[in-house]
Amino acid sequence: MRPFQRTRRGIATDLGPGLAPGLIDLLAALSDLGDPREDPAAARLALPVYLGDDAAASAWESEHRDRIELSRLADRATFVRVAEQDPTVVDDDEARSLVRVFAELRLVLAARFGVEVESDYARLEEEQAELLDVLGWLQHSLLEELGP
Amino acid sequence: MPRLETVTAPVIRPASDEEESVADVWKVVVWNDPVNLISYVIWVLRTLFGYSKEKATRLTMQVHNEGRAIVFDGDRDKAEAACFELHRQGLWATLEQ
Repeated sequence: MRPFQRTRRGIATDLGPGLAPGLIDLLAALSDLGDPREDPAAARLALPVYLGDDAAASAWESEHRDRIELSRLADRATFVRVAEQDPTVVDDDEARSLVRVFAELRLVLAARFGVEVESDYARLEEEQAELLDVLGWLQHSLLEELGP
Repeated sequence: MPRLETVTAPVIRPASDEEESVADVWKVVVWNDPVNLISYVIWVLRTLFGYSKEKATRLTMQVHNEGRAIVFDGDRDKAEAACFELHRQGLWATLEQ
């Protein structure tokens, strides 16, 4: 199975009827994020930019965090649309959105699974490890077609 | 459902030596994490900063092996913009002088 393949019209997706709906369902993990102060998965997506300078960190958050969230919402909307239309053809901007959502999904799920350091992977349940692997494989496959 | 517009990342260029004094230079540090793929971090550094494959790979492996790497420096506005883009891509980046 080759989930992504560059063609003359763009990058063709072929996630398949088993995978595409599952990816849409997985996006629920991103929509129920809690307060970063209490939810490790939300905290992973809102890490500080200034260490040891609360005023600068707060100012950066005020100026940039909402824009990051809006960008992520746009990426997720693109992701859902593409998955719903699969098989389809996406342009490079849409492909970049998919790449970012794969990253976001892996970060959030890994945080939910308790992955904080490399050695935590050894403690994952088989299904958890497989899920992260599949998302990583999809992201890597798309990156190879997308190029820099 | 209305289609939300995606943001296209600009290529952020480091400042030249003549543009600013050392005191004005802010460093952007990317930290290691156990989740993001090495191929993804390389791709982010190439697309965001326009780095060669060799430079992006060297910086990514420095992040992976040493826990962090300075991936960019420039004035505060450019450094903050770089941090914005890196966080948007899911990498953890911090600023320091």
